[in-house]
Amino acid sequence: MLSYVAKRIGVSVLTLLLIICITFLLMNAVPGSPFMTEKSTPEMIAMAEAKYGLDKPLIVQLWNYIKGYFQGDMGVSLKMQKGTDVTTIIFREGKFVLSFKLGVWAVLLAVIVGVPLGCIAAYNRGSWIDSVLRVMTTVGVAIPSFVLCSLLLIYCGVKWELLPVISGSLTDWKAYIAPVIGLSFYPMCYIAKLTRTSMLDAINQDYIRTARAKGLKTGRIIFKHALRNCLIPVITYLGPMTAGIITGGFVVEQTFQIPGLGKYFISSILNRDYPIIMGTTVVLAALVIMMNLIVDITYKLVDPRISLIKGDS
Amino acid sequence: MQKLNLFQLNADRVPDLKEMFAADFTPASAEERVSATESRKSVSYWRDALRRFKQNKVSMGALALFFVIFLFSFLGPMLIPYNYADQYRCSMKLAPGEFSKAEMTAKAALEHADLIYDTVLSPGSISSLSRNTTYWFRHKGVTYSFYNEKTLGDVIVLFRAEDADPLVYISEKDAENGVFDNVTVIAYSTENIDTRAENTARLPLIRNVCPHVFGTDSAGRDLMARCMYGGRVSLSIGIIAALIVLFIGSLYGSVAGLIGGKVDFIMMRVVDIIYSVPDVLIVLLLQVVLKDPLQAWLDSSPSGFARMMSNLGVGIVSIFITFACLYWVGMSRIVRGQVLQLKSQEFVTAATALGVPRSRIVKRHLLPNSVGQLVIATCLQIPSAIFLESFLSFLGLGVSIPMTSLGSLCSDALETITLYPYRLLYPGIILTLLVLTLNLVGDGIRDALDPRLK
Amino acid sequence: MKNNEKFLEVRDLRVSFFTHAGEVKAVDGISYDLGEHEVMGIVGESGSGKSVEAYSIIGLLQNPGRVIGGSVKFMGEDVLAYSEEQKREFRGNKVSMIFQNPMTCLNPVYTIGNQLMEALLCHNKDVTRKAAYDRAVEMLELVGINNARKRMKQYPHEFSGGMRQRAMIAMALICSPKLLIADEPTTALDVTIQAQILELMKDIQRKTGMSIIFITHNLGVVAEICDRVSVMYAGHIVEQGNVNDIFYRPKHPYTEGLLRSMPRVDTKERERLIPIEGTPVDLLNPPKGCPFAPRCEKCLKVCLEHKPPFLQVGEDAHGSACWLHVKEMKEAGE
Repeated sequence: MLSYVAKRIGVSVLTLLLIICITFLLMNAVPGSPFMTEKSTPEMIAMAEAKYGLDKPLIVQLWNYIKGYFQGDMGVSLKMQKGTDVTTIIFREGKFVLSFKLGVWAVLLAVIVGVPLGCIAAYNRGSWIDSVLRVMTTVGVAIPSFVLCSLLLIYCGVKWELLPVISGSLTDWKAYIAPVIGLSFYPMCYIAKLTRTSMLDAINQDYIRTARAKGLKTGRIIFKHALRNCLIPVITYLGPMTAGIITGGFVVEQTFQIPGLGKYFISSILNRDYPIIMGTTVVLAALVIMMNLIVDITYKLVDPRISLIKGDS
Repeated sequence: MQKLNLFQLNADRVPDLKEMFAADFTPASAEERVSATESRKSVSYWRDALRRFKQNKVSMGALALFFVIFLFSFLGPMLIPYNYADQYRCSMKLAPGEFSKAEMTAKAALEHADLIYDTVLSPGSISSLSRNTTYWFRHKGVTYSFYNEKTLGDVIVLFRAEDADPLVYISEKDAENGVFDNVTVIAYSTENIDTRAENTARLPLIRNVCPHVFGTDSAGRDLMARCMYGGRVSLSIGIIAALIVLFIGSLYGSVAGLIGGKVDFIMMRVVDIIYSVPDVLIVLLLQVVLKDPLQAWLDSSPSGFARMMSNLGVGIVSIFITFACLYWVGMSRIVRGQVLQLKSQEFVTAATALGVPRSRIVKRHLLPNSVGQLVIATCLQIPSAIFLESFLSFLGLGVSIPMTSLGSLCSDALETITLYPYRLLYPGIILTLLVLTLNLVGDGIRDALDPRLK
Repeated sequence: MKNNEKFLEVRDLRVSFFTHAGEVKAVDGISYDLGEHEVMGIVGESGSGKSVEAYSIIGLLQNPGRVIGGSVKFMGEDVLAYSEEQKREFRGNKVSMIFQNPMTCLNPVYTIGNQLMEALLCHNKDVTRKAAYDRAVEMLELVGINNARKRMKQYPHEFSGGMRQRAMIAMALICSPKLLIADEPTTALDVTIQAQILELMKDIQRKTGMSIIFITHNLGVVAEICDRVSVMYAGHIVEQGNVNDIFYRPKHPYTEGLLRSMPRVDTKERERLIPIEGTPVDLLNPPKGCPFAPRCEKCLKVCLEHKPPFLQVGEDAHGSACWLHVKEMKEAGE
C-alpha cells in the first residue's frame, strides 16, 4: 500500500513536471515579447527582458522556472500587477481560497445530493419519481453552466430578489448559494445518472439475488450490497469532475463577478501575463492531479479486488 | 398392463375416457411434426438495432427535434431577410417581435403597395434620394408614389396614392407640389408600370416586414439570424471536431492494438499522460498561443486550404487543433480496447481456424462488431465538442466577431442580462436543446446497438 | 406422506414472463409433492422452466415474471399468499437457496464472514454478533473449509470456485432451513470439485435431515443424490417418479431420450449415444399439443393437437404425461 502510494505520487510529480514544460513551451511559442508596445524601442524591450531573465536560452529559463516552483517561487507578474510575486497574487490575496472554497462546496453538494438521487431513482425504477429525476438529470447534463448561472442570476437574483445579485467575495452564506448550485448542477446530475445506471447494473448482479435469497430487507440490500459496488464508477468520475468544477469555476466567477482565481486566470490569458498564466495553470493542474491520486487510493477502500501493491489494473 | 389412472395429484380432474379414446392415434408424419413448430424469422443485427431505435420514443422525438434545430440553423438563414452581420441602425435593442418606427412605416406602406421592385444601387438613381421619404408621380391620370425601403434591403415599393394613407408617409410639400412627377423615376420604367426596368427585378408582393422574432442586439443585428448562424457554427464545430477525434483516435488506437507489445505499451503511456493533464487549462493556453501565429499563417499562405480556413476564422480553427491535440485519447482507448478484445474473441479464432481470409475476417467480423462502439462514442463526442466550444466562446476565446456561435451569443448577452434576459435565453435554450437532443440520440443509438449496455 | 399436511405441496403452478414480444409461459401448470427429509431432483434442459419454478417458491421471481396461477403450500401455509415482509422472513430462514455460479454470487466487496453472519443476524434479532461469529465459523467448518477463522476475514476473490460454493452452502444453511433449493450448484465447477460438493451436500443432508430440491440438467448428479425425480420440458413436468423408476423404467419418450443421450458406465461396447433430434421449444410460440411432439420419434397425430393427460404409470407415484399411454390402454382394452 505505502509503496503504491509512493509510486503514484512519483507519477503525479512527473505529470506535473510535464505540464510545467508544456505550458512553458506554449508560452514561448507565441511570437513577440510581452513587453512589446507601440512606444517601446528594441533597447527597452531588451532591457526589460534582461531584467526578467527572458534573454537567456530557453532551457535555462525552463530550469529556473522548475527550480523556482519547487522552492515556492513562481516568479513575478509582468503586466497585471507589475512586480508583484505570483505566489502572493494567487495565495495571499484570497483568490485561491475563494475559488477553492467554492469548488469544495460544489464537489460536496454534487456527491452528497447526486448519489442519493441516483439511488432513489434506481430504487423507484419506472415510477414517476424515476421519470422526474431522469428528466432532471438528462436536462441537467445538457445545460451549459453559464446558461444556468445566468438564469439563477436573473430569476433568483434580480426578479425574485432571493439572493444577492453580485456574489463578490462571498462574505455572506447567501452569496454562496447561487454560485455553488451553478457550479455543481452538472456534476450532480451526472453523478445521479451514473449512480442510477450502475445501481441498476448492480441490482441485476447475482450477489444481489443471493442477498435476496438470504431474506435481507430491501433497504439493506440496496444500501449495503448494491451501493458500495455501484460507487466504483462514481469514484472514477471524481477525477474528471474536479477538472470540470475548476473549468466551471471560470464561468461561474465570470458570471457572478467573483474575484477568484478563475476570473484572474482568464484575464491573465487575455493580458498575456506569462508568469501568472504559468503559476495558475500549475496550481490548478496540481489540484486535479492530486484529486486523481486520492481517487486511486479511495478505490482500494471500496473495492478489495483492486490490488494496489502490484499497481496494475 | 396397468390400468389407466390419472396421476394422484391431478385427481380432481376426471378424464373423459371416451373422448380420449376417440383421438387419432395414427403416427404423425415428419412433415406434420415440422409444421407444428413455427420458427421465428431471424433478424439481422442492424435491422434489429433499427427496430429498437424506432421503438424508442424518446430518441425518435429527440431526433426529430434535432432535425428541427438543424433545419433552423442551415435552412433558416435562407428564409429570413436578415444577416448575422448586418447592423440595422434604425432597429436597435428591439424586444422579440417588436418593430422599430421605420419598420412600422414600411409595414404600413407595404399594406397598400401595388408592386415591389428590387434595385441595384448606383449614383444618381433612386437610391440617391434621401431615405425614408415618399416620392410621387402621375402616370396616365393616376398618382403613384414610390418609397425606397431601407429596412427591407434595397427595395422600391410602388403604390397608388389614392389607396395609401397619406398621413403616414407623405412629406406634405412633395405631395402638394408633385415635384417628382417626372423625375428619375421615369428611368425606372413607369411608362408601363408592369414592365421591368433595367436593374430592377420584380419581387413577390410581401405585405409584411419580417419581424425580429428574437429581437435585436445593441448594434441592431437580428438575433434570430445570429442564433441561426451561431447554431450552424456550433453544429459544424461539433461534427467536424468529432470526426477529427474519430479519425486520429481510431488510427492511433488501432495501430497500438494491432501491433501490441512494447509499441502498444509506450503508446498507451502517452495516452495516459495526456489523459491526466487537465484538458481545459491546456485548451485555454492553446487558444491563446495559436491565435496569432495561425492568423499570420492564414494571411500569408496562398493555398486554397488556408483561404478556406481563414474564412472560418482563427478561433474555430484553433478549436479544431486543440481537439486534434487533446481529445482523441478517449477514442483511441476505446478503439484499442475493441481491437484487443476482438482479436482474442472466439468467433475470430473460429473464423481463422476455418481458413477465412484475413480481409474477410476484418470485414465480416471485426468491423460490424466495433462500429457500434465507434458510432456511439462519436455521437456523444459531438455534444461535448459543442459544450467546449460554447465554453471557450463564452470566455471570449472562441469565435471572433462578426462570426458568432451560440456560446459567444450568450457571452455578449451577459453584459446587459438584467435588462434583456431574452438575449441570453434564446441562444441558451437552443444550445441546451442541441446538446440534449444529441445526448438522447446518442443514448438511443447505444441502447439500440447494444441492448446489454442499457 | 401419511397425513394431509404435506411438507411441500405444489399444485398447478403457472408462471409467465410478460415480455414485449408476448407472454412466455415459463412454467405451465406443474404439480408435485416433497416429503420431509426427501431429495427431489428437477431435471430438464436450459429454458425448461426449472429455475423459474424454484424462484417462484422462494419468492425471488422478478419482473417481468409473475405467478399467474396455482398454489405452493409449505408445511400447510400458502407461500404465494405471503406478504412481502412474510416472504422475506421465510427466505433464508425456512427455505434457502444456492445458485449456479459461485464466482458471481458472493458480493465482492464484503468479507465472507460479514456475508455469512448477515444471513443469521437478519433473521434472529436476539443473536449477538459474537454468537453469530461463532456460528459462522462452525458452519464454515461444517462445509469443510479449513482455517475458518482466517477465512472469515477474506474476500470472495481470495476463494477458489469450489470454496466459494462451500461458503454459499454454509451461508444457506446458517439459519438451519427446513428446505434447501439448489439451482445447478455444481454446473459451473470442475468435475472433481463437483463430486466433492455433491458428497458434501449428501453428507449435510444426512446430518441435518433437511429436504432438498436439486435442480440440474445432469442426470448423473440426479442419480447420485436424489430420492425422487421430476423431468421438466418446456414448462411442464413430463415424468415424475422415484429415482429407480425414472432411470430403469422410464415411460415418457423424452425421459427415454435423455437417458439414451447420457453416457453410462454399464454401457455395452460400441453402443452409441443417441442425441435427441431437433431444438428446444420456442416458448413464445409453444406448439398446440404436447410440447415435445415435434421432436418425438413416436409422435402421434393427437400429440400435435391436444395436450396429453398426466397419468399414473407405475407404483410409488410414478406418473407420465404422454398420449402413448392412452393408446396402449385403448389397445389393451379392445
